[in-house]
Amino acid sequence: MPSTNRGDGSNDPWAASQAAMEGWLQAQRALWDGWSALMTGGDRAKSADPTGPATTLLKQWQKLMTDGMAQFGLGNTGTQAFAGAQDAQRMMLQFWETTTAAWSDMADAIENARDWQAVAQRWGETFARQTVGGAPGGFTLPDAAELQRQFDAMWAPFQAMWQGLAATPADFDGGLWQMMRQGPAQWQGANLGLNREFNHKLQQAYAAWVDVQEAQATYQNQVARLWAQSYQRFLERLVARQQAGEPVESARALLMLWSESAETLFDEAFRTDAYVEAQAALLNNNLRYRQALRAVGEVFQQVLDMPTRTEVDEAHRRIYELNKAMKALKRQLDALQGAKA
Amino acid sequence: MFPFITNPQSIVQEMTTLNRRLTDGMTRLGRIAEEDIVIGATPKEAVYTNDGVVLYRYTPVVDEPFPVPLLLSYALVNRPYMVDLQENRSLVRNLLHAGIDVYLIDWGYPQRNDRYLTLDDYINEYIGGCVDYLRARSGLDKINLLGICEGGVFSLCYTALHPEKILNLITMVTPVDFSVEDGMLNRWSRRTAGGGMDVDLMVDALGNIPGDFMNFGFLMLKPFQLNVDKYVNMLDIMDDDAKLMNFMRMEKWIFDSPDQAGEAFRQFLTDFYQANKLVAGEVEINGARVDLGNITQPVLNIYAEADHLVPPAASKPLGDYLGTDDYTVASFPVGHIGMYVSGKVQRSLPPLIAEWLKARA
Repeated sequence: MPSTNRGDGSNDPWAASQAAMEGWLQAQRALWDGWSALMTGGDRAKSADPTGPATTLLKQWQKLMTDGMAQFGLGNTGTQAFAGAQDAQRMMLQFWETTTAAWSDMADAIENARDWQAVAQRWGETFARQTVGGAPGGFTLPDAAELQRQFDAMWAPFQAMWQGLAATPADFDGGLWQMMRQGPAQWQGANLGLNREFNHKLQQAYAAWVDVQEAQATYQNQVARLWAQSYQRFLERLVARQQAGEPVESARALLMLWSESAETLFDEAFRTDAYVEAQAALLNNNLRYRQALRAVGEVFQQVLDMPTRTEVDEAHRRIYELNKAMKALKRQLDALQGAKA
Repeated sequence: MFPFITNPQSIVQEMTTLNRRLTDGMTRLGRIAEEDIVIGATPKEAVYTNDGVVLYRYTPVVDEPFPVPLLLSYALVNRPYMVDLQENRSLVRNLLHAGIDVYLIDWGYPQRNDRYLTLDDYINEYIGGCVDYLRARSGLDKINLLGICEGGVFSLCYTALHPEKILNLITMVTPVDFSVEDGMLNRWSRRTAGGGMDVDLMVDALGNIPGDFMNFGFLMLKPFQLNVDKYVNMLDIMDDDAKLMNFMRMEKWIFDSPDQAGEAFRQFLTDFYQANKLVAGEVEINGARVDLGNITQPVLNIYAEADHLVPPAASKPLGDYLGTDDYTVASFPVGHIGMYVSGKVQRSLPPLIAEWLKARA
């Protein structure tokens, strides 16, 4: 093991980091003792409300962790690993909290002979909201005005940059941005005048961007559905374990049970036409948008006397062809010289 | 009955243990600098270059290595040092100890100005250049060629186009029949009609295909195993310096992903994955048709039985299309990467290759 010293500069950095670690472990014990009391007491979480008692514990724990780890003086690798571990534990705790609350509801339904599968489905949707930010079907395209506002906001930095240039060509200054502020959605038809070509490119960029938003919503709904279904499947497996009298006795085993449930379901779903199409549409629309953006950007680059991507690509293509032709000629020359010798 | 953690105190114990291991592991990680993660440590020297491609010769470890050089052609995806990841997980090192004279093509990191490189360049120019160099260096008309994954496909094409230069051919985890849909990669890549991935659009819009984009796709093939389970299981080895370093080596290899030269990517995806032209004998490289029937030299085809990237069903049919009478198949009960890192495979695979080659000198 390399012995690179990444301590805190004190006489004994290793001892300092050990002390920090001990402090951090104490924080961990405090967290889980608190959690244990929560689980065994009458206040067991009844819902996945983010302001629930487990969340308070979680916040305390995160602060202790962050404060403690600041003393480590970790290198880049360690810092990234710490951030990842912290995030993983946060997710794990949230997962556990949700599952505890879900099970409380489901147990109630099972005991009272109600439709526990419907409860599981509802908790699946809750889980999807927590993990991907929306329930299945919850991702929709904003209305035209909101789309227009978001698109304009994306161009604002360009506008600021443009207006900051002392030698902005008069043709583009003012009129161009005025038209952009009006928005491409306002002028869908053919354009007239000096800026008609640019306006057309901008219209195409806007249309491509709207297509991206649409594809994204479709894709997100697919993914949200999978998250919901995977959690539902996990809860069903928990019911099976309960009925078999085989409780899951460790946090890690619980996480793995969910991971296995999700992996199987995602694997099945990723092979369906609906998913493949949604994924491909998201990719293809993003690529078309990138091309449309390039077309708009190259107008700016030309005005600023900058080489465009298209020009550089063309130069690369010519160099490639010349290199290839030169190698072929050299081979022919070598062959001729070999034959002559 | 509550179906999980029926004894809440046990969770305190479990999480305390887990967190002690985590904190200890983080201390160890914090002491690892990026440059400490040494990969490809077997001594080697660059003996030939062509544009950004470098041919390495690994320093023999026996007094008289087998006289016919073995050229390794790895995939363009990820870096070829997978064959020499670390001392005790090294196909190269084990082949050297079996007496083989080993050469490896390093494709480098394609830059934006490499976007017009085609499969003709990779197969005829780069593999061809290395083969001709080795023929001249060894004074032999023919050398041995071992292709891995996509590099195996290139090796098949090269051997079919230039059979007079290859003595024996070995393919490892190499797809041949791309029409199988066992693998997710095939399923995602093959669809063209009705809303599939538009490869032409990808290359036109991106130029080269970013390595990170490729990696994201690979991670999505098994999203929970590769993004959740792997890091949870990492906790088991965080208190072990050697195992932690092994993990970091693999982590580095996974995410050290070169971009893919655009035109070569376009042709590989459209002709091989989407149109499945290789087995139909319809692939054309620089105007010459690739006919696998031209491969009449001995062929050893090695596949991984649990390969999720190149499903066995994509590799196994190779023998049906070759012109050789000397065709051997071997398989191992591992995944795509297990072929290089599994201790069990590394104990039996290199001797298998060496003995097979020596029997066909």
